[in-house]
Parts: sequence; C-alpha cells; structure tokens
Amino acid sequence: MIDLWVVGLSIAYIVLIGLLIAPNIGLFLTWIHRKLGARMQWRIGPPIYQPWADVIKLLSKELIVPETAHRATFLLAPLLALATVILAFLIMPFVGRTPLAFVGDVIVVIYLMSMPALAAMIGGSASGNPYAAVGVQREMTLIFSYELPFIMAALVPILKARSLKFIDIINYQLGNGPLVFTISGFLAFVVMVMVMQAKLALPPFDIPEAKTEIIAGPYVEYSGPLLALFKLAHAVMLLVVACFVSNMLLGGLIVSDWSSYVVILTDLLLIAVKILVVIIIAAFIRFYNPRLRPDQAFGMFWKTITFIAALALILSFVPIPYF
Amino acid sequence: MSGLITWARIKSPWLFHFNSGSCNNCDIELLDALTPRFDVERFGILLEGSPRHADVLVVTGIVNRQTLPRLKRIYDQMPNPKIVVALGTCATSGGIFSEGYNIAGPVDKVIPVDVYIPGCPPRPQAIIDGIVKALAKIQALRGGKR
Amino acid sequence: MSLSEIMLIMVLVPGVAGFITLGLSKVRATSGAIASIACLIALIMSGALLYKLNVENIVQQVILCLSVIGMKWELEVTRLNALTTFFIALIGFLIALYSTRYITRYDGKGYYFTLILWSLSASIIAMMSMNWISFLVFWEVCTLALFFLVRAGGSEAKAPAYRALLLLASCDLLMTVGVALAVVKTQSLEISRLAGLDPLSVGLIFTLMILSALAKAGGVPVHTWIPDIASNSPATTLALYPAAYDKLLGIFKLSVICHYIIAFTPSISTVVTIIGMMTMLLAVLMAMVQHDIKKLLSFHAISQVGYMITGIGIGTSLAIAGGLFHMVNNVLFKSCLFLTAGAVFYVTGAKEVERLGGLAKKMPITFACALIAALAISGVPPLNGFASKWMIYQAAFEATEISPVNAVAGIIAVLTSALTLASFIKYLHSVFLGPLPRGYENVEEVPLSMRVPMIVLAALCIVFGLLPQVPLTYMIIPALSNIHVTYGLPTSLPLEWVYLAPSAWATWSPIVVTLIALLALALGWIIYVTGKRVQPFVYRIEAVKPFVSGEDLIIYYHGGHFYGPVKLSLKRFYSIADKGGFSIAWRSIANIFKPVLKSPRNGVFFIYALWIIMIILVAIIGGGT
Repeated sequence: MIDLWVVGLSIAYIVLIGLLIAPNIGLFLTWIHRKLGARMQWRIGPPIYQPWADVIKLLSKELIVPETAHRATFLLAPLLALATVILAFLIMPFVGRTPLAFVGDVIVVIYLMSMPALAAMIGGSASGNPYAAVGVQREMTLIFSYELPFIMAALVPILKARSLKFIDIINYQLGNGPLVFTISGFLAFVVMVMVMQAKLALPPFDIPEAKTEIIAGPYVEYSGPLLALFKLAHAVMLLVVACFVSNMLLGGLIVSDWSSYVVILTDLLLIAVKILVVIIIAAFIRFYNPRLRPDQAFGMFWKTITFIAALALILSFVPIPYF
Repeated sequence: MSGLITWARIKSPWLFHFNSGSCNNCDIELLDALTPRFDVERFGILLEGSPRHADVLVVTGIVNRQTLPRLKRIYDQMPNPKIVVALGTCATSGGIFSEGYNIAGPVDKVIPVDVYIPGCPPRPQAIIDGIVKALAKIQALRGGKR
Repeated sequence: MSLSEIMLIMVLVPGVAGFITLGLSKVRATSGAIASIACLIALIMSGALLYKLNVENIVQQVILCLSVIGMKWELEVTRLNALTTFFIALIGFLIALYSTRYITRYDGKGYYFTLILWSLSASIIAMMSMNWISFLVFWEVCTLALFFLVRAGGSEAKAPAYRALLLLASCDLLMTVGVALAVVKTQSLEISRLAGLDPLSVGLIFTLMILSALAKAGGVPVHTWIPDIASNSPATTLALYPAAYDKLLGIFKLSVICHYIIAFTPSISTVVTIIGMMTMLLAVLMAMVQHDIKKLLSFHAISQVGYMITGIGIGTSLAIAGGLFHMVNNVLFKSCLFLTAGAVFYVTGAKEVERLGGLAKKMPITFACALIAALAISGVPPLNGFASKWMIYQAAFEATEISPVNAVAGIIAVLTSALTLASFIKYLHSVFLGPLPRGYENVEEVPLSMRVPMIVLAALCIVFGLLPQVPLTYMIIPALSNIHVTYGLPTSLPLEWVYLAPSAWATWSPIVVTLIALLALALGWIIYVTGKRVQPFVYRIEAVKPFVSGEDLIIYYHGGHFYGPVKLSLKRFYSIADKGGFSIAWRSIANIFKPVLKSPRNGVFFIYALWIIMIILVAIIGGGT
C-alpha cells in the first residue's frame, strides 16, 4: 500500500525540515526573546550564538536519573515533547506548502501543541520530586484553564472559512484579507496571544515553572541531554505557536505565487514579519508583567478571556463585512 | 568535537548559589553581580534554581555543621562536569570564624574548589572576574576529568 | 457453519457453562477456567460472525424464527449488533480470565462466573431480539445480573446495589410503558420503524424509551447509580458493566431509538446533543475532585458516554460513526483502566489515592497499561481515543450549519478532553508515580492471568489508534447501514476521506506519527550513546537522591490535593455536588412514593411487579393482533 520510497522521502523530509531547520529557527527566536528582554532592561544581552551554546553544553553534560524516578518514563518524556512539537511544525503550512496537510489538521495541531506540556507533566511526575509534583499540578490547572477560550478563539477562523484545514483558512484570508482586521478576528487574536503566553509558560503565566517558588517545576530533576531536549522543544514550540497564530489570523504563512521572484521575496519577508510580530508581542507581555497566582490565572481565563472569546465567536456569525 | 563542547561550556556557565552559613553580605554582592548593571548574561551566565541545571556551584559562608551534609548532597546532585567557586573570605579560609566551635569548613575541606574569590564581601567586579577565571580553567582542562 | 449455528453456539455455550459454574460454585479456580473457555468460544464465534458478514456482505439477516402462541419470536443479525456482540464477547472473556484470581479478594464467590456468563448471553440476545418482549426480558436479565455482580462486593455494596437496581428498574418501567404505547400504535410486537406517527406520540415514546437507554449507558440525569456503586463493588464488575456492557447496550439502544425506531428530527437532535454535552462536562468536573480511584474512574465512564451521545445526537454520518467508534474505544480503555485499578487494589488493598504512590516500579506492566489507557481516554494522538474524538470534533464543527448547538458541543468536547487529561494525570501521579509510601516495599506485580487482559486491552488501544481504518472499515462504517442517517450534509466529506485516503501523504496517517516516534527514539539513543562515549564520567542512573533543597527526606505531594484552586473557583457547582447533586432529585422523587418504597428492596419488587403486568398487557395487545 505504501511504497518504500514514500517512506524514505518522508524520513528525509522529517529529518531535514523537522530536525534541522525547525530547532534552529526556534533557537533563533529564543535569542530574539532574550535580546529584547535585555534591551528593555537597558543592557546589552546575550550574543547571537547563546542559545546554541546552551544546548550544546547541556547535551555534553551528565545525564542523571534520580533514585525516586521511574526510569523509562523519565527518559522518554523529553523525546515525546520534542517529537510532538516537530510534528506540529511539519503539519502546519510554513511557506504555503506542506506535504502533510490533510482534512482536519487544525485539530491535530491544536492537540499536538498541548503535548509538550503533557510530556513535561509525565516526566516531572515520574521524577518523584515534590517540587515537580507541584509543577505538574500547576501546569495541569493552567492547561484546562486556557483550553476553553483557546478552542473558542480557534473556532472563529474555522467557522469563517468553513473548513478544518489550514490551507483553506489561508486561502480564505488571501481572498478576504487577514482575519485580524475584522472585529471578531481581532478579539480572537487578543485571546490567542494570551493563551499562547500560557502555552509557552511565559510570564504572567509562568506559574508551572516559577523559578522563585518551585525551582523549575516539572523540570527540577532534568539534567544534561534531557534538559537540552526540553529546551529545544520549548524553542520549537515558540516557532509553532507563532506559525499557528499567523496561519489562523494573520493571513497565513504563504508564498502566493511561485513564478515571480518579486512575489516570492516579498512574501518570504511577510512571513518573517508575521512570525516576528507574534514573537515580539509575546516578549513585551513577558517582560512587563509579574507572575499571577494559579487561582488568579484560572479565574482570568475562565471569566474575562472566555468572555472575550465568546464575544468573538458570536460576532463571527454576524454577516456584515469587518465583523 | 571536544573543542566545540569546551567552547559551549565556556559560553554558557549556569550558576547555582549555595549559602553555607554566610552573613548574607556575599550573597547580596553575588545578586548585585547578576543585576542588569553588570549584565552577566552577555557571557551567558544565568542563575538557576536547581543544581541539576547548573555548571558552577557558588558557595558562600563558612560551612558549619548544620550545612555540611546539605552542601555535600547538593554537590553530589550536580551533573558532571562541574566547577566550584568559593565566594568570600569565609568560604576561602573560614575568616574570623576559622577557630569557631561549629565550623566544618572552609569549603575546600569538604568539596574540591576550583576558584577562590576572597573579599569580605568581594565586589561584583571581583566575582565576575573569578567566574571568568573559572572559565579559563575549563579552557585549560578541555573537558577533562571534572 | 451457517449464521444461525454460530449464533446458537455463541449464546448457548456460555448459557450452559453458567449452569455448570453454578454447580461448581465452591471451586473457584475450576469455574473460572470453565467460564474463560466458554467466553473464549463465544469470542471466536463472534469473530466468525463478523468475518462471515464481511465476506458475504450481509447487511441484516433473520437467523432464528420461532412462532409461539401466535407471536413471532425472531433473532436478527445486523452489522450493528455484530459489532457490539464482538466486543461483548471480548470483554466477557477478558473479565472472566481476570476474575479467576481477582475475585479471591472478595470471598471468592463462584456464582460470580455464572453471572458473567449469563449476562454475556443475555446481552447478545437482547440486542438481536426483533421482538419487544424478548428484548425487554433479556434487557432486564442484564440489569439483574448487574445487581448481583455489585452485591458480590460484600455488605457495604448492598445499599448501593439496591439503589442502582431501583433506578434502572424504574427507567425500564418507563420504557415498558413506551413499548406498550408503540405496540398499541403499530399493532405489532415487532421492533419496527414508527415512521409516520403523530409528533405527540413520537415525542412521548421517545422520552419514555430514551431514559432507560440513558440510564443503562450512564447519561445525565440518570447516571447517579454508577458512582454510587463504584466504591464498593469489585473492579471486574465495573469493568464489565458500567465500562463495557452498559455502554454497548445503552448506546446500541440509543442509536436504534434515535435513528431507526422513530424519525430523527432537529428537536430530537438538539435534545440528545444537549444531554451529551451535560453528561460530558458535569461528570468530568466531578471526576477531577474524587479521592477514591474507582469513583474517579466511574465518573469518567459517565463523561465518556457524553461523547457517544453527542455523536449520535448530531446525527450526521461522520458523527454517528465517531460515536460508535468512541463506544468501541471506550470499552477498550475504560475496561483496561478499571482492571488496573483492580490490580492496584489486589496487591495493596487501598482504595484512596492518598494511600498510594510510586507503584510504577513495583508493577511495571500494570503501569504501562494504565499509562496507555489513560493517554487514550484523554485523546492523545496517536492512540484510539484521539481517533474517535477527532471524528466527533470534525462532525460537530462541520454540523454548525445545521445548528449552532453543535459548535457548542464541539467546544465542550475539547474542554472535556483537557479536563479528562487533568484527572488522569492525577490518577497516574498519585497511584503509580511519585515516591513509594512505607509498607509497600514488598508489593509484587499481579499474576499472569490478571496481566494478560490488561495487556490485550492496552495493545488494542494502540492498534486501533495506529490503524483506525481496520475497525472503521470492517465494523463501524458497515454498522451505519443498519441505521437511517438523516443528515447527509451537502458539504460533508465522505466518511472514507477521514481515514482511508488513497495516498499516504494526504491524510492524518498514524504511520507518519510512528515514523516520528521511531526517529525520536533513534535520536534519544544517539544522544545517549555518543554522550556516554564522549564523556570521561559515567552516567548516574538511579543513584542520586532527588533535589529537595539539599534535605534528605521524602515529601509526599498527593494528587488528592491537585485541583484545590479549581474547587475554590467553582465553589457553587461543587457545593451543590457535595450535597448530592442529581441523587437529591431522585431521592425526593422516591420520597413521593414513600409508602410503596419503604425499603429499597420492597420498592424494587413493586417496580418489577408493575413491570411484569406491563409485559403481560403488551403481550396480550400484541398477541391479540
């Protein structure tokens, strides 16, 4: 049924795009975050090679499994985290083309985006550390807090384009302009930016990792290569989140015409700008806000943000242009 | 390969700070050294909460009998290769407490120390200089034994 | 073999074996072996049945036709009940095997196996019956078998068992009234379509019948019996009934009511979808704050049924297929989870999460099965729960064109999935992971006869997740041919597209996921090996104490306290739930009938007396025509 060369080609594709390109872009984006943070604090900040140095150093360090840990689960969790975010990146259109597009890929990506958090929870829980247990509890509370507004915000483009496929949503926006310029689309964008902050566990929602309270949450016991895998997963997650928001609301990451060099260049530039816009907004929220308490975050997501998302969803049914 | 690894180790030292019975002056100075004014993130230096993530163990204080087992445990919990920096006069020699009844230190009596930063307390500039010296030691060892 | 021979063997072998085990009830091991073999024969026969239907492309066929006192008494095989029959036999076999050792924890009653065997036969006959009376009788045999299976839990299970029986029997009484109405209207005892009736009587019949289907499956508001019996009855009972048989029977019945007996209308669609939504959300919110393992799992048995009810309520072909597929998947992972809870109880004797922890090292296989089943029930790709939930989401969002309620159902379904994950993180963390409490140092893995059923179920979870086209092509999609799908959406994708796309590229192919997983493993292995070679030091695996701020102690942070902030934030909901929630409503209704229901026992007999009178009336009306 499946030819060998198809399997070979998909392995090559996964290795090339997934394992080489995605982590490197992700690491670059984390550098942008750190550099922006440094500039906002009136200092110079880390050099451009910093994220790579961190990851290589961690890869070269010792791997420790604590006594209380369940070995197999503890070792597999970071691999699961990295593999799932890479898969999410592969499924989403990046330059308007992906061989992995299929019916309903939006739902699959939404699911895959919560997998790194799940992996962290299982790994943290498997480590047997009490700080990790608190981190797991907080991570889980955070996940189901933001899931409700997130799915409502994601429904706005889905219902507008009447499709569960990224390509259709992007094509709809090519025809009608990016959704963020409509009222419902803008509200959905606001909601999604907040949810993304929580998905990335950045302030004000860095509750599960809270360095000053519970050390590093689920990651307390992770060292060396395993921690490096988690850092890489985090980096790719940053990219995936930016791609998701851009594809759903900012008009999509697409090169509309492959025959003209001018169009290719401007569209590639647009892709970079869209991703950077999302990243920079996230960085601003991150460095200008203190951490919320778990119950504050829960209340905020289930009250204010869900209300905004519901408003966006209702407005998206109004058959007037720019609603 | 080992050149790359040594480079990465020098460019990304993450600290773990342990207070083994210090008077807090050295701790305050260490935190001063980490403020935006000195911007140690330029050198990739970050303060980590967990010893599992850290490369450099910064110890302040005399190591009294209360903190002795904890220091040993935390040193043991750090992943190899690791560097120990003794920060302040107490940590390097015991200082005025060196003949006290409850002293178990100084630090190099308990765990192997790579770099000593004297001073009561040392200035932030001195701390940064000490850590840079520790990095030079990594360069010399090129991923050696510890 | 002809279909009727297969059918007879499938029903009679467990039936006869039931009598043998009843005679041998003193000898537990022998009766367990007999029960397992009889169920295995039934399983092989049901497999043969499925195979034969697929090969010969039979949609439905009458296999047994008797004529007694002027009444036609027919059994009919359809693709739909062949599907449910197969899983009934599968679960029956695995539970019989598992119970052989497990039931020793509960005084080792031999009649337990008789009940397993008879409920297997009875539920198969109930689903194949084309006659209202035989349907009602065998449906009720299942309810009674449940009662006795719960009673096997000992004296503490007595009151919950009576309460459950009272609720189920009352709902069945209402269904009997509905059946009587239907018989009067159609002038026939045969289960046939009621097309072309006036809307009032259709609505009445629908309401009367759906309650018993919901009560069996565990839909809101008649779900209260499941958590009630959960704490004190054996885990095998829970894995057999609320997790498997009742889902298969209830959802089978629900889909037949909605899409076969009466004409499916938008208002019915809305009602059923809203019931499904409420079932999903309310039950999962309750599940999160439970401390008793079996109670936690039992609330999920309710919550998951919400997906199936929603799927059937939405009523597009994709939705119904998703609902039926989720029913099958639920049987697999939910039974597996109950069995793992049973295994934990078998070795530790503990019910509450607070007393457990760190068992993963002691019981690696139980842990692996629990992990797979827990991830499957939370809908983590690429496991089977994701496959069916994905179909339901798609159907829900796609059917927004029919009614906006469906979009809300989709949102609630996604939220429920996250909340389900939350309570299973709690289950895994507090039972299997974390530090091991004192006193469990000598705990050992459960015996082989208990491991095999869990392994089989967990393996099926993986297989159905990686190759969803297999159950879909051979079981689920053919089953749609026996029900009348009202909505064929114009924009709706053909069902085959979802999983059976011709090219490996164009679809969500779990193959790609497997590839990625293998690559990830390879990556991990490379890191591990090169790391080992490059380093001058040796990795310390399980040789270092965890970091507790330098202290040398073990702190237990139990899952029991995980969702305290949520409980605080949703104070109002949980304060109503703590007072009893829906049970309060049923108790106050029961209070109206207090003179009759002085003790639940009398009440049950009273209901059954009414029930028998109804059946006789129905028989007279139907037989007279």
